Amino acid sequence: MKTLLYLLGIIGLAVVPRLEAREQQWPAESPPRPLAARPWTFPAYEIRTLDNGLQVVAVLHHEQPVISMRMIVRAGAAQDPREKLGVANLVASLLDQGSGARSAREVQDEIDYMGGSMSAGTGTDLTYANVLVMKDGFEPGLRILSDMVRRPTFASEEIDRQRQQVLSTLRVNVESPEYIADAVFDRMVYGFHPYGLPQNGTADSVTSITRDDLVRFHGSYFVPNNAILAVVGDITADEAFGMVRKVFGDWQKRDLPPTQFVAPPDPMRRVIVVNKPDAVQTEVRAGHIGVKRNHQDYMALNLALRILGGEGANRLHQVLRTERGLTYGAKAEMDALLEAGDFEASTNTRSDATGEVLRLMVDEFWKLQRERVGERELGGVQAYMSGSFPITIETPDGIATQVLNVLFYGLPIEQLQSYRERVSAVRPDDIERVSRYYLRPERLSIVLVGNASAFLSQLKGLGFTNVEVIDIADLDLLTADFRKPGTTRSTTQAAPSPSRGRRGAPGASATSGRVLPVAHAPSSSQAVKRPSITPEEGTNARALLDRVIAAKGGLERLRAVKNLVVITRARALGPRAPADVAETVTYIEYPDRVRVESKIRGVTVVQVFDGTRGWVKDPNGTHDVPETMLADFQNGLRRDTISVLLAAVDGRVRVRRLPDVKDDEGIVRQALEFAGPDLEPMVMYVDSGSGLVMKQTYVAGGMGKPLVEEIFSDYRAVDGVQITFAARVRVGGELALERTVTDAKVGSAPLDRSLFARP
Amino acid sequence: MDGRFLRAILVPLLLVSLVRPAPAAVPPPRLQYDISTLPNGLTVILSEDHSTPIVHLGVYYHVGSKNERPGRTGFAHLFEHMMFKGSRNVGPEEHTSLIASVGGQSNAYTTDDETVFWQTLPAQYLPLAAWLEADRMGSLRVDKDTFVNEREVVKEERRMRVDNQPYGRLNEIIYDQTFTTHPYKHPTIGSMVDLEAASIDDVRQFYETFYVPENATLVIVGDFDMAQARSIVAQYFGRVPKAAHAVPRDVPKEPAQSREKRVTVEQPWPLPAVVVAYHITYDGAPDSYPLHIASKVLSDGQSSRIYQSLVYERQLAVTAFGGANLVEDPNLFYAVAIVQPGQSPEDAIKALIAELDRLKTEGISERELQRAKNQFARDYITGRQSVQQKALQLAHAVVIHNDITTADGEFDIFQRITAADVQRVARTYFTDTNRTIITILPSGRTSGNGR
Repeated sequence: MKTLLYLLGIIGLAVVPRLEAREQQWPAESPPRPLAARPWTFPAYEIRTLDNGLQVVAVLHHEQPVISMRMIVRAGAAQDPREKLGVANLVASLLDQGSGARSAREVQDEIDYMGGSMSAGTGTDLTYANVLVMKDGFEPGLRILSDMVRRPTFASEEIDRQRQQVLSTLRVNVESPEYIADAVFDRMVYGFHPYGLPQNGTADSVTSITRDDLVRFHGSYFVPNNAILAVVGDITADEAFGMVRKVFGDWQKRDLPPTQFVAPPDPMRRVIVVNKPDAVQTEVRAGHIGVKRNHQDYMALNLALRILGGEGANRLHQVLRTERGLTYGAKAEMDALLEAGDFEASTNTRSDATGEVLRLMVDEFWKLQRERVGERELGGVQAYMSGSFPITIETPDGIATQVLNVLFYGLPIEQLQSYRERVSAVRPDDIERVSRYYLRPERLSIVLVGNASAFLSQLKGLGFTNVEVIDIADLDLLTADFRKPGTTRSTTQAAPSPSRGRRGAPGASATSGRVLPVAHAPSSSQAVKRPSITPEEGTNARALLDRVIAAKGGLERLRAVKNLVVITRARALGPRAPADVAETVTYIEYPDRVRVESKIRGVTVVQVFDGTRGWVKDPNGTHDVPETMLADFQNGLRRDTISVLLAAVDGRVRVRRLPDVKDDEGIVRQALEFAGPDLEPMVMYVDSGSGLVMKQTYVAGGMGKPLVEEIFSDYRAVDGVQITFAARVRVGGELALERTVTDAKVGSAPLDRSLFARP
Repeated sequence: MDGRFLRAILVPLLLVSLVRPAPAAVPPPRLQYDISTLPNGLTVILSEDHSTPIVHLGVYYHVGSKNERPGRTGFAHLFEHMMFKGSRNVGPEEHTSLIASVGGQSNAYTTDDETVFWQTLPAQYLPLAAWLEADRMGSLRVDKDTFVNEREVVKEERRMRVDNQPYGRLNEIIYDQTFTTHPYKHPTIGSMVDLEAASIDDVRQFYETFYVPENATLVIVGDFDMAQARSIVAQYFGRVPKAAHAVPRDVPKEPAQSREKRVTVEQPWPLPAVVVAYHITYDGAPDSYPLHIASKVLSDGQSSRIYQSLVYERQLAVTAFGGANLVEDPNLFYAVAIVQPGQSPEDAIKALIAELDRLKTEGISERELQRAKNQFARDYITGRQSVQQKALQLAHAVVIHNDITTADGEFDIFQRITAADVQRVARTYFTDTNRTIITILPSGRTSGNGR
């Protein structure tokens, strides 16, 4: 009912000129058609393999007089010895710190003097070394690269310098919420598989690394049959391959050590809060194990994850940023590596919004898993992926990256040409299949890094009842419970018995048994058919719902209400609003008919909705209302307090208890969320003493619309039903409407039907 | 000192053996472009590049955070966000989704001096990009609801980028301490208080004042036909009305600093940081080119002086860097060191100042000069590979230098700089009275040693 008044307020506002002059004079039109598409093929490249097994890619690109050389060695942090984490990283950091006949200073001076650049680094599965030179520096540049990967000196003073750098970086990293969130997430998802362990090692492991460890790692993996080299730029193929053969031809082939990885654990619901009391934002991560890169469902899953949080769609961005302003950015992506992969959603938000953000994020996982994705949304992601492919190969290095990826993961080389066809081949059926098969929203690993005191109480109300809280100072990425040995633990609930421990987590000790799978309820419309509310949460919600109904007048009384007739005086507020007061009579015939007669500036306007059709009568005559307004009528009726409460009792909408919140005056209110197939999520804030609804909030019209808050006061009993006689409506935080009731009648016999006919 | 001398002799010998004759920077190809002005004042730069079937379209508004009025810091950037909230024919956030739906990428950014909106997309969609940008230039929808929502987004952006990052506030502290009057004192992201104070009226006023054709430069680079592009531009941008008033250019000037300033502040950071800063000239001023060379000698590559001295040799710093921030109005040359655990911030400050003073007393060697020029040539060439980079170079020349020939002409200017030029500008700017020294200690620690 209040909503209808609010609606009227908007209609009133619309009368007032609100368009800027510039906007008004601008022609109204649709986007222009595209020009004729221009031909496109993947740019030229050549691949050859030397006798020693070195794969060489040449990408010829003559626009700028520059040559880029990139070496990939197939060994990274995943090959670190378990007790020497960080070896690969330290090896990579030393590649440009002296090699062959040159000291660190000499090689650095040489490359800088040439106006070149060099870099080296390590990833999970690989180590890279890059040299860039002007075209006349090709040979010296290639020789520098050769020395870097084949003959690093590992001088002890350079080892000490780099070790110190790594340790200092780690020290900064462990205070970075992003770093912590990512590291904890990886450990939760991959367990003690190498992908779960910190790539740069820990202070202890880095300190323990000796020169022998570095030499051994380098000697084992840095061999030509384990490497790929790309030469990219202003050069001919003959020059490129000829010089590579000259410089790398004598590199000796060698057998590689066998690698055996422990399997990642099965996904298991677990919530870890890393408490950083000085944080002003919470870093949020949620996800679980996925698939490796070379997997038949890679493409379909890639598209599915992009729908959740990637370019071309990104539901998370829509829900968290566009609709609610809760974050600067949110995304989801699939990390697909050589041996395994994961699905991960990530965002950050102000501390006090953590609970809400987490709930919304988890809901989106559920939604993706349960609801079929439409052609249009999928098409948006496909169009983005196919259309943007040429942009990714615009520069010579971009081209090389694509070719190197295919070679590195052992994918068919034709995939470069067929990329766009493979993207387009994915259908909604494929998305549905992979989402159902691979997504496990009930088993998400969740990490929250932030000021725990600001949001811990919210989590419990959301159904996250088994939360492990770890102070940032006590965090240890290498223990099963993420705690430094000897530190005290705190959880939001007593620890369950160790017998309920993680399954199949190799290396996890029995003390990790505090992890209980806890279902979290999605708020998707499907939830009505497939309830997954925890018993505790459901009981809580039902108890509060019962109290609200009792306060409103009791279930029997509410069911007996056939109609309401309310007379009000309302005034729209805001800089552009008319100063005049509107006098209004509203008739509601439950469940679906409504009539609003309003008088503003001496003009009477009648709006009628008969359950399917709607009309507006104004001095110009009677008009059918557009379909969008019909939806507004319907939604307004569904949001009527009495309608919502009865629908919840009857199970037509789902009700869920949310964390208690403080209102503007600092009073703690209890909160219930209602949502259903025809009801966008709406929250009622309840006075804990009286059980009366003090406020209800919702976002009307979906995407991109502001939050509407209806604030109620001056409850009076009318025929056994509590009616609010004063209300204010805020839209997007700004007061938009004030109204007072001058008379209200609650009817038990039907109103005259002609009231709801075309006026 | 001795070691350095010895190496200076050895290294050239080594190079001779590597067949690198007298190094002269490889000249890059010149950019091709066409520049014109529409009747409404919009500057248009078109540059054909048919190497990939994509096109980049950027609109550079000559307004940035230095145009904000007091009490409204962060507004230029907040306004940038509002440009995505819909116009006459485009719904909120629809700009981004329309571009993405054809495989394009788009975004925007705000600096002290400019606000830039860009999109790179398949070439056949040039009309779409032009239509979208013209729509918001000509008919932005200024809506209170979306404004309030977007303000929250920007506050989160500040928390993410600045408040919740170790060293996230470093720049804010440097500029707050070094500037008194010029708006460079304030960070582009603004303060929470000012963001909160921004109103819908501010949005309208800012739009009417700065988002007008004569204050904008349109750049299109990529795979298009010149005649077709001209007609698309005329069709969509030509109808944007001419501005009613001249664009104000009344940014307050920073008075000269009269004496050295030393301050110590605390931040919740893991390791101490130190800063040594000097006021310098603006981008494009004759002195700016030797200052850029000085930046390279001090801090480009591992053989640069600051890295060698503070990070490599003495291990005073985890990381250390320095250079000239050359922008539209006079700005700073500053050097930063994040102090290694166990080392003292005082020593790091002394070491940074020693390196800056060396530029005055010893100057730079011919070899260092040549190295810096070669590095400049590398940056120059690698900074012109993508259509977006090319657009940036052309627009920067027009918007900041007001002279498109600088897009190519600076290459030659740099090749003519001498070691004496570098020493002269060092003596001009790196003076004691022009200096600010900032020590930033981890909160709650009395000793400077980050133990």
